[in-house]
Amino acid sequence: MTTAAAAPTPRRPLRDRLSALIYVVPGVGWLALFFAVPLVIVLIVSFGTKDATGHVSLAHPGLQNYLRAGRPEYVPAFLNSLRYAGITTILSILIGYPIAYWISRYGGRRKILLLILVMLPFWTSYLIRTYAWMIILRDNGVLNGILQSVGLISDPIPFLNTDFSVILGMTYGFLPFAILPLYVSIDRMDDNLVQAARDLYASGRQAFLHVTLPITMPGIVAAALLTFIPAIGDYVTPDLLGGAQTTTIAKVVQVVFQSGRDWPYGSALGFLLMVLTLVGTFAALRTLRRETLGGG
Amino acid sequence: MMAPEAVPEIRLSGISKRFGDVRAVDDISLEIRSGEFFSLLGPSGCGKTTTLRMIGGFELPTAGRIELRGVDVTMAPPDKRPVNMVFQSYALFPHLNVHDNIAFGLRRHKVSEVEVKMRVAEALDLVHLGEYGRRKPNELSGGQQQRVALARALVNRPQVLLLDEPLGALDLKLRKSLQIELKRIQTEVGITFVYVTHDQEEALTMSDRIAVMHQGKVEQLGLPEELYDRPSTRFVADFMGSTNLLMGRVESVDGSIASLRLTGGDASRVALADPATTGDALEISIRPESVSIAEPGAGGPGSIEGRIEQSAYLGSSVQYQVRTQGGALLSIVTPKTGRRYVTGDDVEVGWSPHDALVVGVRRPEQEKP
Amino acid sequence: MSTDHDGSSLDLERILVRYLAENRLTRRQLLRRISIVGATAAVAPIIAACATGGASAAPSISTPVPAAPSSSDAGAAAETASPTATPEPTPQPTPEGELYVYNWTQYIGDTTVKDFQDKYGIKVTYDFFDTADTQLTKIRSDGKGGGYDVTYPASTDIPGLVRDGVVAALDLSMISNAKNLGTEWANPGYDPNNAHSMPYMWWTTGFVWDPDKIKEDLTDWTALWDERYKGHMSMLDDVREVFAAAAFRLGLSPNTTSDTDLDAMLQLLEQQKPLLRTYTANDIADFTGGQVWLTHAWSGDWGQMLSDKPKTKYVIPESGAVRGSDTMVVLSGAQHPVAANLWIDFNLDAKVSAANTNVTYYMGPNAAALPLIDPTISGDPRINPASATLDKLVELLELGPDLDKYTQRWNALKA
Repeated sequence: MTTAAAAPTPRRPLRDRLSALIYVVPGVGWLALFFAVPLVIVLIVSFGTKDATGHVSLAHPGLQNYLRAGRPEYVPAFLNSLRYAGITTILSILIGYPIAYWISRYGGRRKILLLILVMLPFWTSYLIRTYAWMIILRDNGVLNGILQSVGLISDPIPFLNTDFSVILGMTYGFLPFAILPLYVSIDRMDDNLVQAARDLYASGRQAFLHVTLPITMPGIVAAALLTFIPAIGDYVTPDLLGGAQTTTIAKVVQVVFQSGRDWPYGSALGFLLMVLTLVGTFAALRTLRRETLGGG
Repeated sequence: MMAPEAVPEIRLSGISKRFGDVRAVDDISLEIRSGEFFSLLGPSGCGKTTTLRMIGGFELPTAGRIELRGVDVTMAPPDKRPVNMVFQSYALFPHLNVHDNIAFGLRRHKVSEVEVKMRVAEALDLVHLGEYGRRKPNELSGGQQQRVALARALVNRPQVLLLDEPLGALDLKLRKSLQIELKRIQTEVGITFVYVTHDQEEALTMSDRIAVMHQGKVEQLGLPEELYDRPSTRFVADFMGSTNLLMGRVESVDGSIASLRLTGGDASRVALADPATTGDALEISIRPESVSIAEPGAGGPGSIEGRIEQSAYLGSSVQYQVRTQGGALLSIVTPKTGRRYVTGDDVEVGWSPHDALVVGVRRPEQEKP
Repeated sequence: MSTDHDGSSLDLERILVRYLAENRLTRRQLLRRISIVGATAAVAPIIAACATGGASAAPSISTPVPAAPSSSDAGAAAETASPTATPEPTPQPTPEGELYVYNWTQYIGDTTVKDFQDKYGIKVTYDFFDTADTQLTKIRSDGKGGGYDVTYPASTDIPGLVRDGVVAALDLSMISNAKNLGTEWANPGYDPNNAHSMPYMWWTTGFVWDPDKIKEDLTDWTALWDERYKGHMSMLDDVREVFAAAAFRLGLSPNTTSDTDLDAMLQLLEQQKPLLRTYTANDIADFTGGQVWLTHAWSGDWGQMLSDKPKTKYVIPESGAVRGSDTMVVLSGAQHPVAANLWIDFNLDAKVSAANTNVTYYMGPNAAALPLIDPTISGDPRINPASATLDKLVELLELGPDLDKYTQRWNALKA
């Protein structure tokens, strides 16, 4: 007999619930208008065709654009996007974690200042910062100039327009997005847990692996998502710092929209990229949860 | 040469710890015997936790030396010391279940999984949590978490167990029952406990010996009853339980008993542990339960007249606040079986000279004009 | 400045765009400036603009002045206009107070905008694109010009833009300077009688190289497939131009729509791609930055590269090259059509046209301007080839829906 389960939970008065709802309306309305509606339009357009003048026609809707999207010539671009986003994510976490850890544990009273410094690059346009990287990385740029003047190299190393420059630019751009969630999860962790691990005969390294790392895993996952998702769709960095060999799927979508002026096809590609990102993200999250949080 | 059995479990020799300009621990030397339940007692900020953390290896002393069974461990990291700690916040690993929390130390020592299972089960039994192995820490009550923390430390069979206010976060009733249980476990496993607390009652109940700390120094070290009955300083007397502190000047000395004129004019007597001479100003301490209370005229020789200002019923006893003729306010606790007084009643109060302790002396030449 | 970059519409970026417009600074110039004075200093005025100028909506160049032309400072434009002016047969319509112009980066004289404003008191908002794709996407987005009054399409695109109603017919009565055009420009095939467009500049497409890095004298397209320059070559980020280069190598027409031809061209370009540093929209910056030694380029861009690398060489390849021209059009959705026609007329003025050429190194169609052009420009056969050379060059034609055959392969190539 479970009479306790049947006990009614007290409900807040209707008026309270309605007034709470009022505060939600602007946000939901904003999202609906500026996120959902354009997305639906993109979805509808993706089923259309391009007529002779290049205009979108919905006269014969169908899946033809999605079928075309699977063509093998786009596989390299898609793999490039995955590779850049994946490496960028891993680098951002590998670089961001020690920084976040250091700020949290040793930042003391300067924590806020240090976090502001992390965010400082955002005070300048991403475009300008990317141009600055071009100045640094090009063949007669700052980096090659320094390497040559100290005699480390004689001919300039081609940094710009390579995988290296794209990954560098993306890691630079997305690092703050990784540091902030990492900082939050590390800062929230009770420092006594590390001491307890050390007390229970764990070396510094073991304490990190068996305690700090698993406990801050939610921050790592958040950092990975906040880096990977924008990175896989990034257009500016591969366009400006990349070259002929670094085409990404975002660049393909841009070419389809602009050179081809094929909006239905471009919409289908964009939509497909979004769905793949979402599916991949959820799959990764589920695996992570099962592995790190144990079978519960 | 010292006999081997005389080597103390822990020896602190002149250890100090400074944080910036603050002397958290100031030149402490003491020895803790094997199998002893030893408490570091004092108010917050007295340096007791810092001392414990230096024994555990979580802080390095600024000066001095720490030995465990004669081995110098002053600079050894926590994982290289045969001691374990129970943290005030328990510090259970939230991502591991109870079993894995307890197994943590064993696994770091590469104990076989079969033995891990056995010893974890034993440890769970020891703390009466046999069925809880699969639970996560956040699914346990505060008391249960406390016991897991204890089991997690004890399972490693350390030489010494360090406990940092382990019962501080629990409610009174649970605290009382866990005090008894902790003492039972300590007796059962027979290892040395070093226990930090700010609760003098807890320390008195459980400890074999207590070091009372104040401003980074050990104020007094001794058996519980010594500290309670014969506090050597005003601070210890005050800290070891509520007491009446009175000032008086020696009028005459008769053997080991001095006659005093208290501030305000009341007359009293006190047994002297150390010699005193006429004119000395003494500070004396009398426990509330050592003060007798009687109707006017029934107080016997040496009684002081006074009037009840307040009375409070405490369950097993009654507490009175009495204002003496000389103006001093005395706290008195009597069994509830005696006669009851109400506010405004005139009474006589008194105490045996042997219950009054001298906790401070000022010679006339030390006094400022 | 292209405005097509992703969705990060930071305020600062808009201010940057406005700053570039106000200071007549292009993406290329910004890069050049940054490289000279260092990034911080280059960006500092933009930050300052952000702090101080952010709230003011009106760019400084657009300060309206009284409409009456002042002979002292309207200068050249006004004076050249007067000797050729004939009495107006009908009263001219009143020009609007504003004009929105959409042009390539670095593709106009240094003072042209200011001179026009001074002469007519019309506030000009001048906006940039850096690829034709961007331009066409934008002006076709609403089918009538995307809010601009005047833009500069390639002549190739004119038939399509006319057919789709994106551009309006010109008011030829307001464009008396059309008489300055050379006779060969009076009735072009892409736009009979220049009814919808006026020619602006023309060019050849070849390639440039840095003789410090490449000692030999290059003559033909095969150089751009040379393994020795791997990683130091780039092609223009332009579908038709890239395929044309392959077509000339194969002896095909760059206007072919045969799938077989196109597949052969694609195959050749796929062999080339691993050797390339970039498909570039910044050919000048890539070249002056040192990483590219050999790049596919328009003749005028070469002229602009000379200011950084005076030894830079340009060649019109032997096996064939593209020639082309850009036009000025009034968009069908223009809110300021009178001002737009005035703008076109003004740019056909001999002195204005010559000033444009002297800055951009692109030759104009303006016969009257020829004597006013810097002789080192007009006299250079690579910028102003003899008509015998020109006759051998090919113009790109509008392909209609067959353009898809190119863009699909272009996509496959770049992916």
